Amino acid sequence: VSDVERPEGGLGEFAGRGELDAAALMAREELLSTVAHDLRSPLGAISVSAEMLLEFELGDQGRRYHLEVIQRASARMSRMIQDFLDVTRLESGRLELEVYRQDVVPILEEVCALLAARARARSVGLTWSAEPPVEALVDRFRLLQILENLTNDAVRRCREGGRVLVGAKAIGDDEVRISVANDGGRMTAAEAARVFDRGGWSGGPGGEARLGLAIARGLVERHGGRIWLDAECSDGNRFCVSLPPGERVGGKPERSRRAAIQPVGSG
Amino acid sequence: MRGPVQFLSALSPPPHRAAMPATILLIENDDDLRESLSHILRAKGFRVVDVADGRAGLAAAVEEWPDLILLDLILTDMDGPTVAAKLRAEPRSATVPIVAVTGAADGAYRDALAAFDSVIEKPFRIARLLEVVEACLGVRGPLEGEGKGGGG
Repeated sequence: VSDVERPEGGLGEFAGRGELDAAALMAREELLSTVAHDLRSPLGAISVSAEMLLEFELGDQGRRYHLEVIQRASARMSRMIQDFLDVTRLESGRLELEVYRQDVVPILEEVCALLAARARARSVGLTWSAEPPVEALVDRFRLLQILENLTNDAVRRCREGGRVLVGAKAIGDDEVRISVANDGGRMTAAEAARVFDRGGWSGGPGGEARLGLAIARGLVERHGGRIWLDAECSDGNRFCVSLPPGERVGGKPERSRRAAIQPVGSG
Repeated sequence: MRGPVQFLSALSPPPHRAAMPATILLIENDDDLRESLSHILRAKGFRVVDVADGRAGLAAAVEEWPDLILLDLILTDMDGPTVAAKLRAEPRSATVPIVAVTGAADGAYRDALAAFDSVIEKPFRIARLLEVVEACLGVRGPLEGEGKGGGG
């Protein structure tokens, strides 16, 4: 368990990498400016609420409201910062996984529990369907993150009163297919083409969802898998993720293939 | 959305509007910020119509006769400069002052900001918001003519 996520070396890391080409630098700068923008929205909400609390006579209810805004906005900022770090680590190839063959169905179940409140708020029915076990070679925490980001987006785009279904199945012996489908809110072709790109306005509200799908793609590819938007799905959107099932080994967890997916840039 | 023929009457607010408080259309993506700003502006006596995205904003600009539009630059369905261009192309909102409320003033949108009547950068003080709102509403009316950004 010692190598779950090696802490990384702050500024030295940037200083030491002189080989980033111009395009990569520009992309990094774009990302930084997107994130700066995204952070300023909750920051703006915090600043307005703090000013209201400090300089206006508010009743109990008003005080409570503004304190809750501050709490919510801080949580969002914290999540955005985590997402930003994940994106930069994915892009530099430094994000490490601890993968082993495991049943993914409990992860589906957990995602649905995590997002139940948000789905209910939109009157969206969120359910999962699979016949356990469906075993794949995955990092548990990161698969949860992938599915949370995809499901979050599916719920957000779903028409009110619609359904979101998360499913998983083994396809033969060499693929596990996970899908997240909604009904209603079908994306335009232009949206669909950019859906996994970070930045721009295609993704969704705030910074969270905008980086969310890019992170999902990065994490799936890191697992050696594929992610795509199913164009055959007529009335809604269906995200598909294909993951390697891994070798069936007698109880012994398969170690990370970290060596195989380290960046080659340093050599 | 617009009909093929625009009558002159369609370009002037209904007569009873003169007695009403100024209407501010707030197009802001961030739920918390939108709710707080509406609350503050209502407390100041303005009529506030608040929406979260560009499509709803464009519809409200036609239906609600805003005197001022506060516009977030990055929305879920389209970006602020696109919304601003559409507002300018719509006769009913063509001369309504548009203020960008944004955290992206130093980013990719720097050049696009020239098309706005004013810019409020997030995070901001409430006093700054009210100052800009009052300044923009002060120059509205039939004598207007030197304001920036009135062109198509």
